[in-house]
Amino acid sequence: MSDENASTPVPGRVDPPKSADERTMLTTWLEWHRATVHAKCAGLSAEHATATPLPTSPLMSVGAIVSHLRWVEHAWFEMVLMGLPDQGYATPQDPDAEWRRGGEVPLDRLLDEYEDQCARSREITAKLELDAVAASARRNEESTTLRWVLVHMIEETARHNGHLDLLRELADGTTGV
Amino acid sequence: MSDKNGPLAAPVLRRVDPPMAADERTMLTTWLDWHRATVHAKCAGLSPDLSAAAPLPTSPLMTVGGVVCHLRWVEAFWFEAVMLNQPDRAPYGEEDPDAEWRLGAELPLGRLLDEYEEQCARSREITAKLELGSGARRTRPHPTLRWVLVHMIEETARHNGHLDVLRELADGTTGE
Repeated sequence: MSDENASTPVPGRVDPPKSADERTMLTTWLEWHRATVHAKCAGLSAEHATATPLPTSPLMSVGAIVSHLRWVEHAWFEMVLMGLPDQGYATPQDPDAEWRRGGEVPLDRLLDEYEDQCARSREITAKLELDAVAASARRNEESTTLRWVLVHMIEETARHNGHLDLLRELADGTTGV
Repeated sequence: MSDKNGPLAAPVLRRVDPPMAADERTMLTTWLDWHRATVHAKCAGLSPDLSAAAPLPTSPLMTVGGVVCHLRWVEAFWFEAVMLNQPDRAPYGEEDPDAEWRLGAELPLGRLLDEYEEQCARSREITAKLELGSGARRTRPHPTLRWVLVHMIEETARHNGHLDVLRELADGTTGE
């Protein structure tokens, strides 16, 4: 079964160790998925980066997903955990602005911005305990912890990599990684 | 049990949001259960004839049923075959490494989901009995339970991403 083998080698992507403490396990898996976003985009033409193959989701392109993931990193690490101001494009009047921007900005630039944002997320992660509570409460009365953010970021980035799997394959037949 | 002539009834599985503050075991198991429940949610109401629809020309085995069948055997592999070193009962083998994907396109979706849920129940029992740092009884691969839980979250989530697109292409249904 393909699952029992190590993942396809990708430059800059490191398989999480099979035995590790909680912090290492969570951060290495999140890094694996962040690196996979870049790998899913490698070699994609500009035209395909903005293609929207789902008739019922006219904003859903590879570029849109990368733009969205950048802002998700910002929202959870900078806004929620650190209480920093919202610097995103989305507004109540235009909640889909970050998706639309992904269709307008070159993919390389979007990936650079995503990588810069992930670097900021890493700095914040390194400074906080896993049980550290968010500087700003975002949902109901509860306050988010770094532990929740890390697991959520793994699952959200992974799910979007699932979208990228199919969008990339529909674009130019590229699979794997 | 689903009516094979009509869309699946709404899932009876309740999906519970993981708590925002919790210990490691709770955080990992609730997120994994959230994604397991999401698989069912992504299939709810899908017309049975669309379970085997293969909208990607370059991946004729990529179907909703195929994903569900694959996920069932992924659960069996990591929890039963690897953590407990029990015999691998999976249908795939050297002659047909993609057998579970093929089966998934042939069997009724309701049955596939029932078998997936039964397999997940076995995974939960195994999880409850082991420490997070417990090493697998099988020597290759040799992960800890912690690795298995995080891997299952990310793999189930990634396949839910596939289901998001497959479902939307099938009948326009979207949502988490």
